[in-house]
Amino acid sequence: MKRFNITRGHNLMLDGQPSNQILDATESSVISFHPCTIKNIKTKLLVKEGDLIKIGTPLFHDKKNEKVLFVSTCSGVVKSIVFGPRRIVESIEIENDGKNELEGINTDINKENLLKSGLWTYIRQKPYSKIPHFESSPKSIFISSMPTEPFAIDYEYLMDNVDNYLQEGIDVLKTIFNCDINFISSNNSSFFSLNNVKHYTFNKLHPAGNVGIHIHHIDPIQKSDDTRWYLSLQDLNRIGQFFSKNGYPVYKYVNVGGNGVKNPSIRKVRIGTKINDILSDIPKDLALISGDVLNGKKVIDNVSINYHDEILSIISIDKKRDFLGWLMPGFNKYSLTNLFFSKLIGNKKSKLSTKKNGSIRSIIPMGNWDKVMPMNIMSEFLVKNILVEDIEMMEKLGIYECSPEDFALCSFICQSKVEVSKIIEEGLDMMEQEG
Amino acid sequence: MLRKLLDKVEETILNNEKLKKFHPLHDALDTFLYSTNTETDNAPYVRDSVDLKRTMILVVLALLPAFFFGTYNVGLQSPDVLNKDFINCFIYGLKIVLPMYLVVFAIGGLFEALFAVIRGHEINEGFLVTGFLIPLTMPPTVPLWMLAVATIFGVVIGKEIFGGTGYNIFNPALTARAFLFFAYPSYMSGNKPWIAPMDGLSQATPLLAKSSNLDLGYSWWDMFYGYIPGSIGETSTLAILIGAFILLITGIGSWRTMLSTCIGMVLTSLLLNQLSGYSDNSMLSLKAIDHFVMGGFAFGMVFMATDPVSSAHTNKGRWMYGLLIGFMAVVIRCINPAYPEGMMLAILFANAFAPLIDYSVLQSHIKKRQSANE
Repeated sequence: MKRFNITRGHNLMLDGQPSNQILDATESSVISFHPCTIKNIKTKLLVKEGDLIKIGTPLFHDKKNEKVLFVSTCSGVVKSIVFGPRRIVESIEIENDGKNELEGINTDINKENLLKSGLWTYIRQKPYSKIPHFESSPKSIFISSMPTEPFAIDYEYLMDNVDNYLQEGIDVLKTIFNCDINFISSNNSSFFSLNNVKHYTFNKLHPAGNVGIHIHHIDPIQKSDDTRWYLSLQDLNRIGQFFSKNGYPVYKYVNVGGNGVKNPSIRKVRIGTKINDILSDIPKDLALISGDVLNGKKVIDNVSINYHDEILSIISIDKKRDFLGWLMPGFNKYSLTNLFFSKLIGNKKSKLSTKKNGSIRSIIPMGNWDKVMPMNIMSEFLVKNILVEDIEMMEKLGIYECSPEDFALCSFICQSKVEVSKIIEEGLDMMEQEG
Repeated sequence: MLRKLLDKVEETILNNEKLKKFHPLHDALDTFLYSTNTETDNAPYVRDSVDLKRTMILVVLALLPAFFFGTYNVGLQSPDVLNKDFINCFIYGLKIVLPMYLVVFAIGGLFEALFAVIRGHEINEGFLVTGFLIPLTMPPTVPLWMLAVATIFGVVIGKEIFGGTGYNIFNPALTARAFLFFAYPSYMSGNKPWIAPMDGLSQATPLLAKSSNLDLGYSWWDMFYGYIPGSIGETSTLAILIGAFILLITGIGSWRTMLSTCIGMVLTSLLLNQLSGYSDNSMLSLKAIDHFVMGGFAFGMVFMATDPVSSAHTNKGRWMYGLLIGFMAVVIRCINPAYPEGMMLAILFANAFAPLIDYSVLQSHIKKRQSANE
């Protein structure tokens, strides 16, 4: 087993850290899917309003990837389909009849059934963080059991307390794809007993739990079509559950945290449950973020959390302006730099809000980005080459190994408030369009 | 109340087409008085408390020891001040230094604002540091109009024509100084700058004296503490080292640049010391430890070479950049007969080479990546 020790990074200390306690969310009467929020797909609807559907009935697929089906997680009637500008599908709402009727999907272990079950959609590929094409196959698969982003689920705890089908899941992937499966855990993990995988360990210093960092250190991507696949541990568990004939996995575990949550903890929710069904009475003056605060997306409460997210962060919005803020000693300022007195007393679990804490300036290379970037990537030059759209240089500087989430802390720490992770995302989009 | 007034003025400005372009001016004042409350509109939704204002104000803080000692030293060195007690010297110094600051910030600020309005971007805090540096690099006797011209040159040619803070090739404060150095050399070096305004007694800096084979009788400790004539901010190595300490613990100044500049200087002076037997040039025998406290070496190393924009941007590059500065500073000091002080030119020279240094570091990075992939 190879061990990696990451020294550059930071674990954000936020108020409202979810406790290790699994709460069952109430079954909601309406389940919703939002195809427009899934990265990189062109939706083709497979149902219409009024259709009777079951668990596992295909709802839509991607026009460019037609065998990859997105399926329903409840039985009932398609209540409404809402279109946005240019006919993008904003939401598909299904009235849950509570009968949990199941579409007959064969559970023999093969690629066809993985596609039909809708579980393929939980697998993603690097580069581009998108759902892989049904004809493609991976060079290797990465599974991280130690996500490090703020409010990440503690998988050691979760897997001890729910039905564990990880070994079955691994065996399914091994049988179907016959490639290396790299399993990443933290030191002294209980997952070391899993077979059929290559074990690696990383220390828990964000972003060391990100798949992008693992790929960079273990099996770096060299070309656009040199893909690595990855999926979250609970999605692996769900694949294992399905193929070991233990029912269709309609639930997932969502870590709900932040200073705006009364009882931050893990919730067991049916996939597609709306946020206001997961949490009742959410105060108005809070920011709801599907995903973690570093890499999520702001959402409203009348939608379900984004397809691949497992975290719901709820943080405060602060509009207060400090008088001569730049001059004050700053005992209560959260900062990774040594520019505030808070450094001497340590960053307290802070009320980090959605404030930007400064104005946008040009890139000034203070070396702050490097402090939180555990990859051999020259981030300043990469960002500048993305801004001038120099495709060739972007390739040479290793854009394929980069993912926005790995650069989120660079955006966080930047004194010029440069949107590093957003620029990386734009660069990747550019590369993908260039093909 | 002030907050309400500012908001009201902002509303008026934004609602008036003609006034709209002056919004950067209001914004500068507004964000100067109150921290911004703009919200993040994309991930990451939380951000560090640090911003450029905070960074720049800490550089100014690091400059304060040099500023205070420099102001005192102006009075101390002036033959006009007969009663050499601290208060007396400091007040005399303030009378000379404060008008300089007034001129630099008024003129420089005006041009900064002008470019901000024309380009429609916010006023950048970079000038805060540049403006604070410019008077400290000047002899106390420099006429104020010259200072004004130099400031304009530094801001416009040194920075704005390249696109403003973050895009400049040369350090703007040094560009301002270099302008005066070449345009009005008699005011910047030689004996004249140190002639006190009233009685015409001349005083040379120790570095100048040394290069003319004179010895003014200053001890090493005098030079370290700074009781010597020289540009306002450069004389006290001790005050500068306090500043260096602040820059290093806050992580604003690059320790790589500072250390490598020192190493470059020490190695070069050791080399030249070996050659001193073959020449009657007394500068060749000057020890590294003397180079360190004489002239503007320490000031340049701590405050000018570490400018993150005009220095090399890569960590490896910063080592080469610093070594080049240390080497060039000593070479110009010792071997060039025309300029006794080499630090300013060495830094500007290295500024010009910094992009090339970065380019080679980048190319070797790319080559390593490619060979690892094969």
